[in-house]
Amino acid sequence: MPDDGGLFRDVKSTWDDFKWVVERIREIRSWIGLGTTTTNANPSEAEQTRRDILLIGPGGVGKSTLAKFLAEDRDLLAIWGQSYKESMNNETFKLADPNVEILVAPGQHHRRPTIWPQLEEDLAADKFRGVIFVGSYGYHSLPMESHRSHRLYEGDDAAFLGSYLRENRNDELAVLSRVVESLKRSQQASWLLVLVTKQDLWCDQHNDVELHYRSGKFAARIDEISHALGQRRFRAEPVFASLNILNFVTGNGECLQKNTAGYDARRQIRSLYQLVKTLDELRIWEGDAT
Amino acid sequence: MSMADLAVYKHDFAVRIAPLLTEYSHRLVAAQTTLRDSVNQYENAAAKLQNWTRTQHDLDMARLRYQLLKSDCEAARELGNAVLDPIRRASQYLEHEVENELDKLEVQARLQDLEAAMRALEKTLEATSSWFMSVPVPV
Repeated sequence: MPDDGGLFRDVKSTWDDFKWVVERIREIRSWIGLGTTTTNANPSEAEQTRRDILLIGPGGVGKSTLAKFLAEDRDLLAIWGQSYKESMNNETFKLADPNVEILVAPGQHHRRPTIWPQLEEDLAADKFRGVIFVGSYGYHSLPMESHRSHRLYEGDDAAFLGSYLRENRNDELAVLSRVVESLKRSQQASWLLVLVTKQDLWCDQHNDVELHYRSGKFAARIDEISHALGQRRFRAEPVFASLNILNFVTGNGECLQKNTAGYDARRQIRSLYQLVKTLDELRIWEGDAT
Repeated sequence: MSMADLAVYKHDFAVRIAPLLTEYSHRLVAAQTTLRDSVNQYENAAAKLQNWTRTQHDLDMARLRYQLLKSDCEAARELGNAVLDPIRRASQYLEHEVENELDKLEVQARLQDLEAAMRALEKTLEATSSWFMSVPVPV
């Protein structure tokens, strides 16, 4: 007779992680518990003391999905598998605490010159308590009908994917550099969470991905903030996660890369567990740092 | 489609979508102006109802202006929704497809105008809607 004890323990452990994620997100939605803000009866005063969370990154990395995941009181499963629609303007997502909102900046290149300069000024002026930088190791969603009309396409799918990922990784670094320049000018304590999404697409190259984000140019740029602000006023944490388990497909349904075999819901929940745990630690650190 | 044909198609796309984006910008600005005028006209009509000389005609006009304002809000909202698709398509073109620098500059400038007009209309609609909620139906 087969021993199902191991399977039962696995399922129970996954379910416990899932429950933990859901419960902890509820706490994060009411950020005030351990945060730095106080409830103000006067709305204009509250407006002045409010410090939001900025969610920034290139287009198609999962910023809006993450904001929905953190802010909207819906079952986690409700946001999984939704098709990609780019954001055209800043989007705000309310948390239970009225003193904290999540602001999602649109990531497309042509929107950066009009929308980002004000955000960068606000970041330097301490209007944000923290920044969630989102990258995806180059796997930026392609809402276009076919990758064959992409400017990098030269007749070969594999070569296209390689060029596309390389270009996007460079763009992620360019976006991070803009964030770094603004954060270096801030006065109050703030944190930076570097979230690398779409783990289901690159988890077979996990060591390369970790090296890419934890060392080299990425880490060097983040170290610049630590040097400028000091360890007591700045904390940065990387997290690797998957918000959706999906193949890498174009808007037309052409599959450019299948997700990694073996990456299942259990691994995804573990990654979300790590994400929420890190956010929670940053929230606690924020309370201690002020 | 060969690579040469694709390049021609991409240039043609810029040539054709650029005036369309401007056309939509003009429509959004016109919708915003109509909405503002409609609010003013309703306010004038409603003010007459406060006067002791008010007539049945004044009441009918206020009701009419109220209904027109409601339909102008609805029309502006529908236009805003209709513009989302061309904006997304032009945005994808800029983000992923365009190769020619001049095509890029042309579409980018017009798309930025359109998105600015869209944001302005959204704000006007939002303000009008919240004001509208506080306005009693003329009786």
